[in-house]
Amino acid sequence: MCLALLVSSCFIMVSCSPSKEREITGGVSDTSVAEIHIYAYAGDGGGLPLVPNMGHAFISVKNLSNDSFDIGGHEIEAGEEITIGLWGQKASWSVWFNLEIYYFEKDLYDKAVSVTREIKNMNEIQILSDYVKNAGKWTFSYNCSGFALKAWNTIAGEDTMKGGSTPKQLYKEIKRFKTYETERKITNDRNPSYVKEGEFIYVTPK
Amino acid sequence: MSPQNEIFSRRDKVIKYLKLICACVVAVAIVYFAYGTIGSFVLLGRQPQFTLPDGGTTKSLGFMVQGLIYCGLLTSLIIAEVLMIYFMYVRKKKTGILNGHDRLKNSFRKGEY
Repeated sequence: MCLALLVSSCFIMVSCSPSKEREITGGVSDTSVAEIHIYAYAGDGGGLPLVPNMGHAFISVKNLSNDSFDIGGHEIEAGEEITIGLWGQKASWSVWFNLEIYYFEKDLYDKAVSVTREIKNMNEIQILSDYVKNAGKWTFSYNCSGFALKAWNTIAGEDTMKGGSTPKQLYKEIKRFKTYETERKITNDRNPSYVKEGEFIYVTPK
Repeated sequence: MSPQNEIFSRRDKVIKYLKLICACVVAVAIVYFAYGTIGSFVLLGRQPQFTLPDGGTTKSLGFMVQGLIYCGLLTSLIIAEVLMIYFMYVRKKKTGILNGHDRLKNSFRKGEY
């Protein structure tokens, strides 16, 4: 009886204890050329009662330098920020640029969480750019959160994240960081685009 | 009442309640999946839509896939419910074909055992 009580109380303690908090080791500094943000939206408040909303995950990159550079072929001007996400869109099941901005405009990602890290140099930009270029197609096993997580991890160093095969898991992982943010919105005047046979196709919001 | 008939009468009651529970569970599931199918397509409609250079449109297909999965489950449940009703009631009444429990019960009543 005592043993059973001891085991069950240990189980309750383990299951109720909050997961360990993390600090970002690569915080943004004056020498950073850019910053990367990883976003996860767990679907809260964006659906109907009892109808699941799987959510979405993506990254954004902000250029902190005085020169433009490109990520996956998409140019980012000085001071500009773009979003990059893997989508199962009717037109293309691949990487889309700036699509999430229109979801922010419609207040669909109000409860998204994000965490920020520096991109130290142009070498890291190149690594991230190569990853985005060869990101491939959306599948059930390699979905938006798989893409966002791998993109983050290519340059994250000690801030590497584990798990996150769904936006909900990534949401929990991001919330472990002490510096996670909510309601960080991105604005950009550019139209969303995707790459088809090496060419950028721009779409217009309806 | 003979002990056998008592057992069968008890079994009849259990089977009756089991059938009722099954019917209720399937009915609730059908209502839920019907709601889920409609809800998924409502959420699909709320997604931002974009116009392609060729005049076509694009939008995220996540909710469409979800809606189709719900629709598939709903169809399977409706088929299961129809088959269940057919084998449990219609077939039995029309053809007199009985299940194992009823056959055994009749055999006992006729004194075959």
